[in-house]
Amino acid sequence: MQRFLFRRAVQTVIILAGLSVLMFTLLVVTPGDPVELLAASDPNIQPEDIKGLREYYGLDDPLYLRYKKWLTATVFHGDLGYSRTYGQPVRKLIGDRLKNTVTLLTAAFGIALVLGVIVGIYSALHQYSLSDYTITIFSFAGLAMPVFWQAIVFILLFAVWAPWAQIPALAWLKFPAGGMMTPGVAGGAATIFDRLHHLILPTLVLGTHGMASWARYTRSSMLEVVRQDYVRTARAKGNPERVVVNKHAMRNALIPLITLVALSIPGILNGAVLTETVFSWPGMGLLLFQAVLGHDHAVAMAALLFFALLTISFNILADIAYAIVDPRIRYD
Amino acid sequence: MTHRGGSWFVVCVTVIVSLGLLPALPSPASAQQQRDTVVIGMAQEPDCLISSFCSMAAGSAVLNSMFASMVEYNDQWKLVPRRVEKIPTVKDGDWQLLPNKRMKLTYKIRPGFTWHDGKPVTAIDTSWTYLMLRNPRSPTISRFILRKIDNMLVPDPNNPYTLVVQWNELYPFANTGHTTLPKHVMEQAYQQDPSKLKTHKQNTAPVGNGPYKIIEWVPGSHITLEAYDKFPGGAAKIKRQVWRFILDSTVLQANQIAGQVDATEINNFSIDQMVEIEKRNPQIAAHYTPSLTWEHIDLNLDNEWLKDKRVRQALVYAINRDEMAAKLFLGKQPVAHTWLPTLHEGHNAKVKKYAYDPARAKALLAEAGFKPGTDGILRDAAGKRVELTIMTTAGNAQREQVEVIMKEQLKDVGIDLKIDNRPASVFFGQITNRRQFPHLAMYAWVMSPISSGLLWHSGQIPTPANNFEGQNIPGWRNAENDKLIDEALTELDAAKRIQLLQREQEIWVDELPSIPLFFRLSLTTAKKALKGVKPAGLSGTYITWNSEEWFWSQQQ
Repeated sequence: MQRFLFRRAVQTVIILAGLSVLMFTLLVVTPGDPVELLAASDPNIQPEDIKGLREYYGLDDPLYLRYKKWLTATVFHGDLGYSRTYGQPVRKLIGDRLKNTVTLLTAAFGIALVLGVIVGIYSALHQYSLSDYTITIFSFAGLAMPVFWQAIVFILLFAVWAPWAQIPALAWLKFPAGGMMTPGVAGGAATIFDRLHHLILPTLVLGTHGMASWARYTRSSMLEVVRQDYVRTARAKGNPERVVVNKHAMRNALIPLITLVALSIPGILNGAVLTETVFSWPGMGLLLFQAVLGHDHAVAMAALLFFALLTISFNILADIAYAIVDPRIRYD
Repeated sequence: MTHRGGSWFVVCVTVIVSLGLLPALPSPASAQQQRDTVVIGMAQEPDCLISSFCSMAAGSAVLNSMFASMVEYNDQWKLVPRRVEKIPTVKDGDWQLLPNKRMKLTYKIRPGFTWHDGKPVTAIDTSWTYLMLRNPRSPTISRFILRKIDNMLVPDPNNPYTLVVQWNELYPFANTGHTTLPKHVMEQAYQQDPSKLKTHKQNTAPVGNGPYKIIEWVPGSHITLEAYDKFPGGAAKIKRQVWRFILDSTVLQANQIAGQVDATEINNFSIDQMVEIEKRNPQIAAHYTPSLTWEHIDLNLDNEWLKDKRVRQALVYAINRDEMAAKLFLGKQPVAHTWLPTLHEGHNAKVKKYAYDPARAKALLAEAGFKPGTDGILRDAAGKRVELTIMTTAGNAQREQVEVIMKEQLKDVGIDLKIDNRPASVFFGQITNRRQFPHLAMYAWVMSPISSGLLWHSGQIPTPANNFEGQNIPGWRNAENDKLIDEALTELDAAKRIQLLQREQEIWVDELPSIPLFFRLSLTTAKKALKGVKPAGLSGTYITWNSEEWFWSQQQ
């Protein structure tokens, strides 16, 4: 296992290095550098000013030199640079946003996984029942809905329309139409409730796709397992159904799900970019979106590499988890 | 299982209802509903809060609340003094004309204004700011005006409220005031390294001198301002101002309809969205304010066909702009016949008008040597099929609709219009700046009350030789127009300057280097209960230009 981990670590470094070259090149050669966009918006800006700004931001340096400066600062000095847009250290910007993204991802992932597995198991154990068909329909609907569209529909339904909110006891079921907090809310319990209240809609949107796909996978995996001989034996031994399902069937049914869940994380990250943009959730996804559009290269590079590292890390975790739960899998 | 499922259902309903009954949990909007707060939604987040270092309009909108200019434009587009006792004029002698086309202006700064940390705002701050911005190592975006100034002085150290500005050339708008930043806050960092000023705290938590001071900026979420109690004339009536960044205009619209924001500015709304807001929530007022944004289509005058004035005029005759305005903008957005909007002092209402006349368009094209082919599309003298390409910003629904309508209307006069759009960053970064569009490019210029037509000067054509610097995107050359622009740039007499501008427009309308489309409206919204809101429609003068006068009425 140690040799496996070492090999994967070396591969990760090589992949990240290659990705950094590719991403940096794409960002720089993408048409529309920030000074050109500035000049396009202001008829009074003069050639001398444009020249000065290009020198200030180092935009006229050759590509390899710009990459070298970035690489030296990042790798050897740990300096991610300054955001050209916000004038703040990239490290601080990312740190602030990362917390928000982790909150959203954890909530979405947790709810999607728990509900997806429960619903999938229930569906498998009640195959061809009305509830199974209902769950199947909703699962396919969840898989088919684009994140962006779903987010806007949820906002219209639960934040703008929300007729049930006319009933005082259900007023809290009218959710905020975006943002992470209500500015000016008093501290303590009110702040916690406010943050949770803002978290609900983006969590549901981001978690829907995962919940739907994991429910389907869990259902088919469970259906395969419950037909196995050892499950029949467990029942024949007189075990309660609860023990048969939890101890014998579920554990084996969840093995393939571990890999799928780990491999789905990058997909959730992609969804986070769209979800955060629509809900104005100040996370890494929104930061990346703004940085790429605004040609803020320092921020874009840091965010892109972060997402790449996360994707690679979860792939490695999936492999390790697989080896842990399945004794037949061994790495060297 | 059914019995157990039913139990779970009862438990869930009980929990949901109980949560709603808990008294300690406030409704999320309660903070806004308090009448000491106004929440303004924006579809942009500022990049920084020092206007001379920033490029985004969102920053200027927030700064309208935080800084009081020396002089400002009000909602009638009139220049009024704010932090000065009067605006200098030649007549009053505080604007002196000197030999060799030099000038000297004297401002009397009103005492009583203080920075948000309590220090007085004086002419010394303005004088220092000029020097700081002028320094080539400072990250100043434009030094267009600064270069016209030789010096800013405070002649009497015992009187720090008199500012003298020495100009090295004639400039008709020299009395519009100057940027003032707190010297005591920024000087030390400036002395250490001017190039690092973009990372100074003044960018993110500025010490201002206006009716509101900053409390917090949560990146990606909001900026909170609070009324400054020592503002001359008294603290603002509404204690708190919160700017929320909601980047998607559909979501911002939803927030306004749901009442979760009280007003919007820089909202990217279309007119349809504004109408929908008013319809869905009658408590919201939609403001359609004339602005200086000029929507137009630049023509590439290097093209063999578009070189001919008759072809350019034919294009304008062939397009029914009145119909577009009625269909796409519900009749609210006026058709433009020239490049200066109606409220601009130099607007020429008497220029030639090109009413929709496809017969006239065909006649002009025939005169220019085009003949229809068997497919109804014209051929030039060499037999080439007349195909024109129009480019604009991809994803802009209204511009795309304009293109579709134009395609049909130009087909009627024998021109095949191809549509080829690009993302905004590509369109502005390359297509327009480097004149890489083959025929037509549609976009908007934001003019200002002091626009004098410089962008139409032949010296402003971007070429490889001048590193593509300049804004004369069509590549128009006209010697008389150049002369008029040169004169207007230094003409101090307003009446004469207006005459020059009007003659410029006469020439322009005859030559048509661009197709004038519409003067865009500035679209803002605000709750009807929020009183005192007077949108100005000017770039630089946003909805909050007078926010210290806003108040909540008793009725909701």
